[in-house]
Amino acid sequence: MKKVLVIGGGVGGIEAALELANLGHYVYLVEKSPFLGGLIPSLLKTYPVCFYCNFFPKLSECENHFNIQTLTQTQIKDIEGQVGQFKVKAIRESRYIDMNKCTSCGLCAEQCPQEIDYPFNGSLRKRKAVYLPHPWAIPHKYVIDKNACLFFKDKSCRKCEEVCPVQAINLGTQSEELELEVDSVIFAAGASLSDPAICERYHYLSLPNVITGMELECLLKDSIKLYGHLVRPSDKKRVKKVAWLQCVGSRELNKDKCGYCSSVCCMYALKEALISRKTSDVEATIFFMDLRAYGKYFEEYYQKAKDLGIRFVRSRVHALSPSPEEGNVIVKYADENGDLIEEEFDLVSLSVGFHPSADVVAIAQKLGVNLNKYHFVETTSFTPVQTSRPGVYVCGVFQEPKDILDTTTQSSAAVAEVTANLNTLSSSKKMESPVAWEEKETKIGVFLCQCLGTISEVIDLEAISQELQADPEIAFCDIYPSLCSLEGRKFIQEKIKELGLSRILIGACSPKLYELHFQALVKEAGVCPYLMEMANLREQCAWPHLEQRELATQKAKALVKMALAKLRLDKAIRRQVALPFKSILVVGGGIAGLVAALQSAKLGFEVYLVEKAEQLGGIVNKIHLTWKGEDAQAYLKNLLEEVTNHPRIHIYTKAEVVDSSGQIGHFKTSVKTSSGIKHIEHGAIILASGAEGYRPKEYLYGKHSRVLTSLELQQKIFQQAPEVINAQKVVFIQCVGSRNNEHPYCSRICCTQTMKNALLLKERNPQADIYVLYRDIRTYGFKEDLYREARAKGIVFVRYDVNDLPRVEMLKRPSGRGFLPKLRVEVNDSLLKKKLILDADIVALATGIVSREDNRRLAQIFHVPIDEHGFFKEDVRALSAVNSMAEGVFVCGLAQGPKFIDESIAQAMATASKAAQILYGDQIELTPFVSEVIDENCDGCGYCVEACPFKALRLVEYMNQGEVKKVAEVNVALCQGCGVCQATCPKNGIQVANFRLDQFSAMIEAALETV
Amino acid sequence: MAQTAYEPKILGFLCNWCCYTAADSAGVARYQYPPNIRVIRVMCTGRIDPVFLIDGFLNGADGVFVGGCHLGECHYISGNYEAQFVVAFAHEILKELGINPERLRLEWASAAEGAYFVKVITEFTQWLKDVGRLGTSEKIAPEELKLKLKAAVMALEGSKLRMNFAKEAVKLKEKRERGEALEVAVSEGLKNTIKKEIAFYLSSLYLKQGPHSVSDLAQKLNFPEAEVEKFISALSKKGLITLQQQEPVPIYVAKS
Repeated sequence: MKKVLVIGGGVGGIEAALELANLGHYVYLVEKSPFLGGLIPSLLKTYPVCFYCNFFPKLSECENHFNIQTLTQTQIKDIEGQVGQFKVKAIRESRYIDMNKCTSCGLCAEQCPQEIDYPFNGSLRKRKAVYLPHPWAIPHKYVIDKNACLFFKDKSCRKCEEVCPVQAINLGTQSEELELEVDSVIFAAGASLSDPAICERYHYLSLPNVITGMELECLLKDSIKLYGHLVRPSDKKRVKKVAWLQCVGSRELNKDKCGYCSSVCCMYALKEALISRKTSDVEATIFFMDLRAYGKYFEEYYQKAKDLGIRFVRSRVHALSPSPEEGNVIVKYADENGDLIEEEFDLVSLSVGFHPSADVVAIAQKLGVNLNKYHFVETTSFTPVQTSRPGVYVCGVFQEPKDILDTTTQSSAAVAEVTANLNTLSSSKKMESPVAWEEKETKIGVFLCQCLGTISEVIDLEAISQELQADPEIAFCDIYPSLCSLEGRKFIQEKIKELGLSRILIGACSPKLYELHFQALVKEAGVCPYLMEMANLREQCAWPHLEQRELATQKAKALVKMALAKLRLDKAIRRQVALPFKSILVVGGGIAGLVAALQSAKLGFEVYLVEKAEQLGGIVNKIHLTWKGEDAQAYLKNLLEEVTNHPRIHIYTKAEVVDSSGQIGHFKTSVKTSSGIKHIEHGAIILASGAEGYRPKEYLYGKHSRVLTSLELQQKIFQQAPEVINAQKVVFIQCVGSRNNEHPYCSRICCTQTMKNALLLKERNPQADIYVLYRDIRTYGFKEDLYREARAKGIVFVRYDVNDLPRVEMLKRPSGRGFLPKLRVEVNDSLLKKKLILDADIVALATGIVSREDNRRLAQIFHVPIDEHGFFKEDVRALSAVNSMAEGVFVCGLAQGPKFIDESIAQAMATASKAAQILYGDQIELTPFVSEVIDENCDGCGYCVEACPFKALRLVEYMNQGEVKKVAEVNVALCQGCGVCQATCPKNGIQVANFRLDQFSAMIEAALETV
Repeated sequence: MAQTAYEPKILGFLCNWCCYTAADSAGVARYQYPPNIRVIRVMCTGRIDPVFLIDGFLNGADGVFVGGCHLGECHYISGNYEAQFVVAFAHEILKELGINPERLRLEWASAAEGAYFVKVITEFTQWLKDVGRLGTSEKIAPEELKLKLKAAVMALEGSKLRMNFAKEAVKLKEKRERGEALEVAVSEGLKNTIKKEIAFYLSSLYLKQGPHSVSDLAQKLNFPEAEVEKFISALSKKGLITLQQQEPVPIYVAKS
């Protein structure tokens, strides 16, 4: 088994670890803090769509995965060696609490005399020296904060040790040294947040009501909980006026340390402002330089913020100072007229950015991984997750500041690279469960957990057990001290085997914490995992009713009986696809399609690559340089050579998909080629159909030969076209075909493209006057360097307002032939409040990216939704930008939304990892909780079709005893099992497996049965 | 006489992603609340069938609680909007039965709002203690109440009311998707159907209890005789009732 070290237990590391484990690697997931999750648990929500609730199941999946060893509180000290034989030295700090014993009953924290403020400026909570940071913390085991604990101060207290009912605490344990041997390494270390105390003008340390954005998220969470509205730290007064200061620790000019843009702060500030406004009706003001809403659905989010009355002031704040009004803060800034303003706020939030963590930087340097000048990992556009050391990869913020979905994309990409380079799939065997669960006679086993007293001290488990003994279907009922312990696990499995138990009821903690764990456990013992139900006796019974034993016992009895009522009616469901086709269809032969194809082929799959055009390469055929300045043509040439020569890649050019049927694992697709229709069988689909450049209707494009698009301009620069190289005055106009009514989104790449082109022109003709007419410059991440360079080289930036667009006109044609009419650009500079008239030799339009019309057709053929702009929709609930809403169909590149080459490549690699996870092994195990139509009840009224939020239903007709019958049909690939169809159905004609009406009515009856 | 010290029974439907998690986190934080609620975990509040809610009362709940994600934050995009309508619909049914609709409560709580969950449940439980057992504040005798609820459940399982309900739910969804301002209210037409359907099933139940004339039924149901006549003919057509005597007035009874 190949072993991989993943450094960092944030979202990037978790995604990488899970995918690696699913592909048959053994993973050491190393996290320096005591808990998994990185920054995410401290966030309030995610933007622009919230998928917060999907994050926590991943954490527990990670903890329960048999191929992942999670090492928290562990610091890497040294790594040496090379691919296939890295030697890792690490130190694991002691938690002082034995994780195998701790049941997280919380008695230690209850008894701990040392209460401290949460070490987070914004928090209103207190915690003990022994603590769990939040209710869903994983690992769900307490930890001792050495800095707060009295024992470590002066050995004066050992209270927790004494009270722990399971003797899990030992304050004398030492940290241990670990030595690991691994084949490959992934840096998913994220970054720290920049420290605002460094910059004195913010008075972060002296003004209590100046906090960081992350602290604000925590403050919002706590104060809404405690007060119902936002209060400020100093006096808990309700906050009326809040200021957000952008770019704190980012985009600091002339500082090598943080000259880059942190990419996420504009959006998180928007999110915080929106939530503060909605929950607490605050007056929200955001002070910013450029509002960088560059991602998918971001611009719409920005618009929403404006519509909700959030005020935007384009200014970098000079300084903060205390106000005579107690606790208030005075913000000093220059407004757009250049006037100096002093404005008073109740609370100021500093939108801090990312800084690489020193300890990780040190390890990377030790390992000889090249870092850039800001100490992030250096990568190329074409190998976005490969470090300078073979076998060592990077994903997430440690590569460049980025948001969650861009991070998980890179995680998947890194997994694809690791797997391909270690050749893992050919050498490991997937663990698989039996093809069918044996239907045995009903023998229910009930296991009640004392949780080492936590439950049994409140609830009379004996009484419940006695009552259940009388039930003839219950073959076994017992009380056990701790079911989640190793002994407890063994106990359950032994009893299942010994007595032939067929259905299992666990009365213990919350299913949200341990359902996956117990499902896996009963499955190992040969019981269908969906014939296991849990009664939540701890979180929802013992703990909230500590003093009401009798009533709590009654409630517990009811909870057990309800679970039992459901369990009796549960069916041994499963949904699996046996023997999937080990082949992948890639639609689109642009850069994303090519990379996806090559990466999939490297992983061992047959690939069918279908391209509409005659030539492969797509839009990159027209691009010379990436934003980092790499030669795109040379790269494309190599890539094409590799793809066309790969024995497992079958290429169809001038070909088009015309039809597709089947489901995940077993698709059949017809492709029209010049030599007739080809029928392809494949197990997964990667949509990489690309997008197009916007063809401007405005600014005299097509009417005057010197009005060019960015791409045309770059081509002319490389062709040394004299009219371009010798142009004296060049005017760039940004946001052409983006951020307007027709295309409300931001095209993400145009600002950077303009910087690149402007700099190329300056290089070739330093005398040229170059103007960039813009709305916001969105050079996020390290692209900011290009913007700074452009400014330094004298390129003039003129901001225009969206309601007052620049005008381009042709001056009267001079007499005589061969003369071009002159171009004149007029623009009102919204900063200087004056009109500029520019007689331009070249007008370059930074045109946006628009979706292909063909996407609609593909969307229909493959049953995947597209968004309102025509790009394929991603399933954010999978915490991924490359999962489409349909099972077995993945999307990458421009077809998913505007992006840079390096981002397209990362997505393409990610799709290869995702497809491999499905097709690896002899069967695909899918969630069985999907809707099923009950044919005899369904009369085809179609209300469910309308009600379904995922468009997973349609009406079909078939011949039934000589008559046409109309019924609903479920596309299980799209169904998410929410059950809205069932609630809408007038005829009981559709149901979700194991959430049937008869089960609900049995549960309702059991719930209210008089005891 | 209304009992003061009784323990109300509450049936709860909590969505897996938000409110159920809020309840869990309340437990972890050891926030205390009355142990009266019995929780059924549903994946989405949008999957709650109106019949569950009324069935809860029929099975003896004094209050029913539905807890989901805040609007706009549904894990399944829009399920909680559906729940909003289901609850509005069930409220109309309760009103029709003469039951205080506040006995059915809908609340949104995000996963982090454990304290809010506790507050809501504590208040709801106290309120139920104050108003008394189901039927007491409504002044409906237990048998009568049971019969009425039974009729409502039958109506909800019958396709006519369901059809009309589904039609309106779907219409509302379309409106919402078009971005029109919307008020989650049950239309007059649907209210009428509720009234009629419940009366219809109730008359069938009365006839099961014993023989009735049309005017007996009309009086018990507080419903126009002309309508009751229609019920009778529909029930006869289905072969569920029979004419016991013709004179002096026709008397009907359910077939045994």
